[in-house]
Amino acid sequence: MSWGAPVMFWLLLLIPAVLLLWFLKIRRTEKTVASTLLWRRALQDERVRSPFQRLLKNLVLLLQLLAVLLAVLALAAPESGSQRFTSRLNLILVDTSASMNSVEADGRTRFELARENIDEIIDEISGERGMVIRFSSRVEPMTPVTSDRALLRKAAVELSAGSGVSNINDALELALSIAKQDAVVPMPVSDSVSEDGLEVLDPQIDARIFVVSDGALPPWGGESFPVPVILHTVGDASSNSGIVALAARREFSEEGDLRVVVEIRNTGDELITGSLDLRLDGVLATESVQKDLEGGERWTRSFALQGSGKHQIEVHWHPDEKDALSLDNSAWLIASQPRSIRVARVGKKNFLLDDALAVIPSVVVEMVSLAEIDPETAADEFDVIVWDREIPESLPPGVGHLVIGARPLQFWPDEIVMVAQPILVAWKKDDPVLRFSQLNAIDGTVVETYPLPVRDGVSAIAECREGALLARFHEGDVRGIAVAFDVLDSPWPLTPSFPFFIEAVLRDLARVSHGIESGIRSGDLIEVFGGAGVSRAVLTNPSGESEIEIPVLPEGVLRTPAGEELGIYKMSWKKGAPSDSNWNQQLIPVNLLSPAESSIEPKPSIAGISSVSERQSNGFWGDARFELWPWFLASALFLMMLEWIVFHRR
Amino acid sequence: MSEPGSEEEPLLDEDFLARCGRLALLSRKLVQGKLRGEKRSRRKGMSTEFADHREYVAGDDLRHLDWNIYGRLEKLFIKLFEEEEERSVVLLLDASASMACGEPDKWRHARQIAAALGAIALASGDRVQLRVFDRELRPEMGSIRGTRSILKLVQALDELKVGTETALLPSLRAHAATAPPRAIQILISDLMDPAGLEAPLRQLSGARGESWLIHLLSRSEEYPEELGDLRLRDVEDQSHVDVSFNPAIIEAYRSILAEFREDVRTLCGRFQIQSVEVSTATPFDRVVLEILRQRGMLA
Repeated sequence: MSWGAPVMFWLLLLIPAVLLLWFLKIRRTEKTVASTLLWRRALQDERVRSPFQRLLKNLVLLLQLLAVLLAVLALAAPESGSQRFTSRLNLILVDTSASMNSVEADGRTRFELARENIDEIIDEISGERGMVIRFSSRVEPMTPVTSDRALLRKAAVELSAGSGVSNINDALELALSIAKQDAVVPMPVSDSVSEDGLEVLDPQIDARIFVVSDGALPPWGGESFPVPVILHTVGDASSNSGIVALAARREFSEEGDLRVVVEIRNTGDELITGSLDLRLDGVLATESVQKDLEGGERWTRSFALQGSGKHQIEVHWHPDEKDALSLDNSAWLIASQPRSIRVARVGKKNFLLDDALAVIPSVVVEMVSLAEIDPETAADEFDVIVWDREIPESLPPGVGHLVIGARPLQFWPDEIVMVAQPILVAWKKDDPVLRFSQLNAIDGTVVETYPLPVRDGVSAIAECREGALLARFHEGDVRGIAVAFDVLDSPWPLTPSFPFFIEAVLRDLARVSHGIESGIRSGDLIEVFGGAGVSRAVLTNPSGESEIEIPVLPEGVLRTPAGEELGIYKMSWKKGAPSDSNWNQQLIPVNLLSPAESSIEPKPSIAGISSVSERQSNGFWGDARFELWPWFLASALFLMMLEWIVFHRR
Repeated sequence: MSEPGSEEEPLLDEDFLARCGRLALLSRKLVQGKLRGEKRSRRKGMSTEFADHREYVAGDDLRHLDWNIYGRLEKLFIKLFEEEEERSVVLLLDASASMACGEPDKWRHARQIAAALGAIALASGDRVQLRVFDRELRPEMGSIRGTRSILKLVQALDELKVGTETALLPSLRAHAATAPPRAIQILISDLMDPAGLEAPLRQLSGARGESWLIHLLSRSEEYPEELGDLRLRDVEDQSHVDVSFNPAIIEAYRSILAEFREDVRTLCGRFQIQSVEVSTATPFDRVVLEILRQRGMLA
């Protein structure tokens, strides 16, 4: 037996207090009698004749002391087993992804079936420790590691299926991490201890992972799994069809200026017939299209629309017979007219840079001198300022900066040693500004450069051995991208990647999209740049039934996870005084669009996880640890009742 | 006006004294007195009242030969005459502190009984001696006789105060050493002596005269009705005993009390002492006029 709160043993000092109270309680009234002779004999006689009476006299005190002792022991949180023993850890991963909303033949959803499985698992792990973790697009522990099965059950009851995709990999990684942290070094058995008294034993993981899911899971991409994974597959239905892709682009053709492409897939084996609707701002844009989909068939349909300006686009797939999963039968996106980027060009004449700026659509460039930049109004006048070999001592806040051939002294105040023809050692291919650019043109070709040291607030995009050639800098409201060399000292401006780089930098710094908002998936982060001065922001869900206040982050960034409801969310914010009634708005579509979730056919195993046999609990590692305090407390209460009865019977 | 039975009330009233005048202590044995009195002694002597005959032996007074018998039987018989003697009554009163305990008061009850018996004895011509003891025998007040001494006796009893602890043996031993022969000795006590009763009662043996014991207990000693946890303190030796009153302990006490009384009765039987168990719950006049008469002690 071990004690969870041994400090409570201090309360044993209550026992002397009880004794003191006892002696105070039986202070007797004194009475004078002729002789105590007969009373002494009577007492002696009574004790001889009724030994139980004497015991009864002290029984009250005995019961009180026992009750106090048991109450103190209860407070000390006793547990069965010793500290060196541990009970098995059971990590229950519950799939709450969109596919768990599939309706089975009996009318119940898969998640309702999953609840029954969770209850069975919680019953099965009686006496062991458990933890409930839910996973869909995000992974969220719902309980701490506990042996309190009521707590596990309560967490399971509060769970519900959402609209996200299954992120089993993150869930398994989290579970594995918890299991590894829980690993214990076994105590050497006395017989096996070596002569020097030391024995090195590896930590042992005594854990199981239960996955309650329909098996519509991506394959495990990690290493071999050292913990038994027991998959409880729920559901039988497999017939489903749904929208798995929705995209749009601006184009200028005879048919229209907006093209929308929809992909629908029959993920089951049976023929499904249905019709497809496309609505523009809630109005049917074309006639419904009827389609028969064979089992496993993909169908891509393209629509050309007259849709310049801002529009809400919805597509709905209507199977003739109700399919198992309805969440994937609709999808949304927003088409908007991209606004122009206002660019101030400061610096010496550079026709290659000016040509690059000139070919970028929706960019308005204004040539200004260094002296004409007003730091206080620059953020209102321009989205981006391009500094070419000229730069002020302090960059204006609230506007994006592209600094070429110079260094912002705010970030790099120290002198930098010149490097000739630096060799590129790394660059971030996934950075948005390099998405369409190749940097081969600057690899060992730059005549001279001043590589920028990486420090707090600076991240390198492309770097040579001495420092960054391309770097992002960010501190407070001042942000931008620095090019650590004069572009004219390199062949880069002569390559096609240069204008792509400049366009990507301008769109990144100006935070302007291409005019098509394809949205995010359920559970992903909604992120809106409200700009400086945002005082209040509200997010409205697609049905318009709820509005939640969104905290405003520095620079007016509004960020919150999307809810489980699919559709078009509306982020509203306003600047200035709270009484100002001018609200800005941005619509954010939240879609499922997941072939994996639409494939609802249950699978018996998780691909990529080799079967690890479940280790049976044994005496050393599997001893269940029970909390014994309720028994002690109950016993204390029982003794107090008994004491009350004995006292009054006397 | 004083309450009946209170300390201010006289121990005996006139009415009761008048009724006592018609009573006499009834001795089962004749007693020897120094003076010719009203009571007959077994000592046969020179009195005028014929008592019996016996055969003549050499040395007898020839004047007491019964010639009529000699004429009929031709045998010599001496006529015996009963000698009338006065009788001594010794009132042995326990005045230890324990006598002042109990409800109702034992001390007043004991003095009233003593006064009544003394008055009866004086009224019937007996010599009365009051002996008071607690730890030891107190100085004697001397013998009194005659009805005129009744008030003196009552007054002496009225003025008595209780003393300290009980020591029956030394007190009764001192009494036995100086007791008049063939007297009626009446012990009035609660007998609460932790030293035991056998040796003290042996001193009161009826072999040397008539011995009575009036064993007096209060009602609260006979029927304790206390409740709760009490510390009982002995009034004499100040020792204490803690008692949690409950039916079991009260039952045990009563059983012990019954054994105690039985022991007293056994000892009294062995030492030829007539004993009477008296409770303060019984009024003293009823004790005297009914109980003692029913027991043949008064007539």
